[in-house]
Amino acid sequence: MQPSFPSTTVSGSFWPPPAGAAGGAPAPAKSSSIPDSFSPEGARAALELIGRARSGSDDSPALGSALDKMHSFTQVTLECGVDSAIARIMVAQGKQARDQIGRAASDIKDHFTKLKAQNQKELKQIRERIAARKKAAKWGLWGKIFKAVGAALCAASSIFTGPAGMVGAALLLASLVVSCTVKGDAGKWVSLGLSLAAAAVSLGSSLIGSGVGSGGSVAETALQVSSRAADLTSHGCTVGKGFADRDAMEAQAALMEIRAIVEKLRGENDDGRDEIEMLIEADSRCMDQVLKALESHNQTTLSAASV
Amino acid sequence: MTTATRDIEDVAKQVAADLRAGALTLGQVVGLTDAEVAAVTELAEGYRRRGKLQRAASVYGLLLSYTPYNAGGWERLADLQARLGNHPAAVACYEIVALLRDADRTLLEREARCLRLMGERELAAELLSPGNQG
Repeated sequence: MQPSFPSTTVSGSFWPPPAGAAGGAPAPAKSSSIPDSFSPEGARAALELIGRARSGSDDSPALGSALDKMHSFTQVTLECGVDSAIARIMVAQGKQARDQIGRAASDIKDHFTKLKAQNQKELKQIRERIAARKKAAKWGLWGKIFKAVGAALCAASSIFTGPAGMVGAALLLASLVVSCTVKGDAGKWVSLGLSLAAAAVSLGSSLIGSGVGSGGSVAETALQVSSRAADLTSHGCTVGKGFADRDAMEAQAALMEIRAIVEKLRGENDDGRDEIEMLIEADSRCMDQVLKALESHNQTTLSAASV
Repeated sequence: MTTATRDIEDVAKQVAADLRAGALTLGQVVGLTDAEVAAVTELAEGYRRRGKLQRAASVYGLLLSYTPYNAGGWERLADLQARLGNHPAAVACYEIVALLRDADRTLLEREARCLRLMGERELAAELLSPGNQG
């Protein structure tokens, strides 16, 4: 399922990048600038887990390489945040591609374009599966099951609307499952990727379900769903954090915020501008937190995060 | 800053956006290969075979944060959660598997068992009813 980077472009040794390979990558920010939801403790716990895995594993090159990539990404994220970590990876990939075979950014871009196309096919299959469930009157059962696994999980699922949005809900549920079941603080970290995925799928569903073709321009729609995704991502991580900390009050507070947004979304109309305003008003605290963190990054990171 | 570096950073911006858009996963962004995913899976399976279930679950959780569309991984994590007695988590994982691929009878039975252990007998029966399969 995970397509490999074309070996003719970048070999498996591109990560971690060699010293200085980051080139114009963002300088590490202080860890204090990392939002709470991306807590340093969670990342350190993940590093500890990876370290244990390294020490207890055999000399499998593939395993070592995989753990190196996870370790490096986690380490950079711990130092300067997720967006800077992504930027560094891209810069490292591009530099190695140029150094080794003389190719440039266009190769990297083409590679990810292909990956996107593959993922779109998979997401389409998931949406079709959901549509089939709905047609077969299984929709109600799904809701009952989510209720059975916990009120918090059910509430999290309700923030997504539409069939594809439920995929995002499931992935967010997954992040919560990891958060509350993976031993130690590692759950806080490992939920990050799932929360991102959940928000991401939700964003895709928004584009399909309500935006393009029914209202304003594509650009305006993208702005709407980007705002929503950022909003939901921060909520997802907050909820995950609450579970990992076993802090029921914090989790409950986050859920109350989610429910408030749900109510607002239910009343949304086709006017994208109004929707954005509602979202921002409903979650100004979380957005402020994100923006403050991003301000400590350099311009590249800020641009990457604010798309 | 060179033009080439700016080009790459432009790609980085797009990748960050694609990650948020669900068009890419963390595993794809960091460049995990199929062989590497398989190796981490084998590590988790090794823990499981040695009875270190919690550690196996943790490794699967880590892996799934990079490869969230990995149905096989979710299924193994679901089974591990069930064995660890965390039945709600197991049920949620089984539902994710069902989203990612067609759920077979044995999978539904395992999920139903967890629901029964949660005291949700009616829900378990409904899950296994003919109208809710396939």
